[in-house]
Amino acid sequence: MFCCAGCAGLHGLAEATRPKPPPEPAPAATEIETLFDVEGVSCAACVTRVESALARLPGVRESSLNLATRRVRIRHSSETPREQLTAVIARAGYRARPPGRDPRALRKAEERRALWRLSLAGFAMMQIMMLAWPAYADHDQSMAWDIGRLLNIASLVITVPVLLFSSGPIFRAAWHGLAARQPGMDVPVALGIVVSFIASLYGTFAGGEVYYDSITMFVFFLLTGRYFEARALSGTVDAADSLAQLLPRRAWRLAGDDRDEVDPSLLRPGDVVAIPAGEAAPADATVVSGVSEFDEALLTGETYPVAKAAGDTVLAGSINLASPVTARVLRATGEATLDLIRAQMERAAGQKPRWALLADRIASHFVVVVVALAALGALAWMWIDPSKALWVAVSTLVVTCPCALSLATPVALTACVNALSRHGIMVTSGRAIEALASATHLVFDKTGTLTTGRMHLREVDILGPLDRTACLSLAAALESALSHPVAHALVKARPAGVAAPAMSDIRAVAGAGVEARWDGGTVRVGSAAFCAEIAGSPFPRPLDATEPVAAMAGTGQWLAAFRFEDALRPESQDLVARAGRAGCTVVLLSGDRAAVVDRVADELGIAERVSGASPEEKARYVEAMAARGAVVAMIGDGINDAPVLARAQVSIALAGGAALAQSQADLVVANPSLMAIAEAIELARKTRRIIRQNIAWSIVYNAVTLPLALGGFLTPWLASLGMSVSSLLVVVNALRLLRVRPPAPGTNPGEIPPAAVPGRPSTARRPATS
Amino acid sequence: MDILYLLIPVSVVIVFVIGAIFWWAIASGQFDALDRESRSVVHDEEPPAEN
Repeated sequence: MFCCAGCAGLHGLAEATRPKPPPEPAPAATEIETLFDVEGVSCAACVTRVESALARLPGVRESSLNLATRRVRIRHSSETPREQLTAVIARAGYRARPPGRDPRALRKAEERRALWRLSLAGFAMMQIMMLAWPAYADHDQSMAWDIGRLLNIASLVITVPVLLFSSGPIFRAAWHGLAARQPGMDVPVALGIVVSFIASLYGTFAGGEVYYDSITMFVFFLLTGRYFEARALSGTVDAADSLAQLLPRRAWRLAGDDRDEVDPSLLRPGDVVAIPAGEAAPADATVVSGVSEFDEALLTGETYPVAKAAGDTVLAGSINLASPVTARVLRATGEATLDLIRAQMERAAGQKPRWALLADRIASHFVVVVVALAALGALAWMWIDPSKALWVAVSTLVVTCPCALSLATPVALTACVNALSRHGIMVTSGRAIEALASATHLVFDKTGTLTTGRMHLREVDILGPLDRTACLSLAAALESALSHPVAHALVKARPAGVAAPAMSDIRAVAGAGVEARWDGGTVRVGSAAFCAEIAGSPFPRPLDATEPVAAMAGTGQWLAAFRFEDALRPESQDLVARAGRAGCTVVLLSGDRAAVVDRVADELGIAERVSGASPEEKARYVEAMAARGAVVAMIGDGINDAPVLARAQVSIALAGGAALAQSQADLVVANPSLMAIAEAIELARKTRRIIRQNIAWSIVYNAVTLPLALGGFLTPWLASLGMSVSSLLVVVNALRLLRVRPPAPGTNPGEIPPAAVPGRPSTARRPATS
Repeated sequence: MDILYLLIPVSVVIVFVIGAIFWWAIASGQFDALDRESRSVVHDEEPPAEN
């Protein structure tokens, strides 16, 4: 298409000046997504600049740069080469690199440079303060003229490196902003520095005031603010990175009797690996032999170890806590669940909700207004007090802070995505948080979501001579060998302190029940028909198809009937209560029979319920709710209820283990506890609150400081301090989302506290680069 | 006070020397992980090579 990158860039520029031709239909070209790490992004104006430069490139559908992760996501036609994209970003003044598997190295180099710039400015500032001191102290004008001149020249010599190195990025960004006709906040700052430096040069050689101390102090404060801001930002990004660090650095591949140490990235599906106790699984794999427990806490938020036996899937990065197992690799690294989760988190962090788009738009106009105001202010002060005119202009340029405005949203969102991932909730769409924050209705699309799916003995109906305890111990003894859900429920209901009755010849009949010889006769537990064979009479109770029933009979007599129900999840009650407190109405929209739905809804106190609904009816119901103005968050298993989930403003899928990456929902809850949903709603609301606080703060800050600066009440160094603190405040406010809160009491009733979990091996948990 | 004509330039030169030493310290990674040494005590293996 173009002979070289330069032409491509020029073409991009030319595109800006003439109206865009309608996109040609190119059926051969498919849309693909490319990611780059962009170096040199410091502010929201940079974001606008990169995005609009990309938008002008034909073939680019959509691009979005995240200020926090400094990663740009570009959706473009497959005919647009990557080189062209990097060239366009380079012309905008930034360097794009293919995203490394480990973005830390890039960030480390940038952090070192930032530290150097900052400390150079700080060091120079201290020296210049000392050199400037005599002039301040010289009240009686007794200082020799040439000594004063020498001090000024010495200050100039020390200021030059600060301008060249420390404020280099500011000038560069300002220049690119002007060249791209999208001035960012660097423009007024750079203008302020240049104006005071030229005034000082004039003062040094022609006699007059010098402002070297103010310039260096200003640069120092500015860079300090940016440094801490960058550190805080990388704190939010590190949470995503910590997932990558879960992967072990080596894997043990088994080939016949050999055990090779290989790099995990070399593993292919079908390879058999050994996972020793204390090490992390190198890839998603199916256990072939061995029984152990795995810690999946960082993937699913599940704090308790999960038992794994042959046939179970272990996820890459989960840690083997108990004994060695061998496993067959399912997916190569890079496609593992862990990587998909990371990719989804990054995608979500890259999408901007309406709030962020609005802030970006305001920020880009802001700068033009500020420069105009500064010029007007300087002109006005020329009349009032010419000696102050320069100060007023510089302070006005410096004090305003569009950065706080444009950082307000992305920082909070990134922090929220990371905080949610700690609860085992993957956010796959950045807009989901916005919708979840305003959700008014929480709709469960099946009763099974609120129940454990495990049978629970509800009632024992005594039909014969044996009492309840005897019936239960007999049934438990009969069923103890079986793995049917009903058998588990009966075994669990075994009365304590009663010796198991002695029986022999236990025999299971598939699909019917189990029988054994006991006390000189036969005893059976199972379906009514199966038991009727030995009881000699038909089952004496009406058979209700809505609930599972197991009968027990001896030779010639009925003994008992057991009725079961699907046990509620212990946390369902809390979830409904907490959602209610958060202002969400819980709705049960189920395809189940009315009896089951009513029982579950009554027990949980859910007033709004629909039973026997077909998928189409569910979809219509959700649409009707939305038409009434409700914001619906729909909770399903995410696999076979996609059409219903798609009608809701936010879809939440409950998915365990490896299935979570395949879900199309906005939020995927990997945490086995339903309370994660309540956490998600509360976090989303908190995020919205923090974003509002941030935006309010930046508006108030600018509204207050701008008149102060124009009124001549702010010196440039104070203005610089104010601006830095303002940006920093916004970031720190967002970081509150990441604060680890102790789990609310009752989150996991009846489970062991985390402290009682067998100690995890310290070697496995250590960060890779400590 | 004539000594000032010498001392002020000398102080500027020293500022540059100290600045250069500081640059070297940062570039060689001395400030990368300030808590590495304090943590290394509790590690039972050799820490991985710094990249």
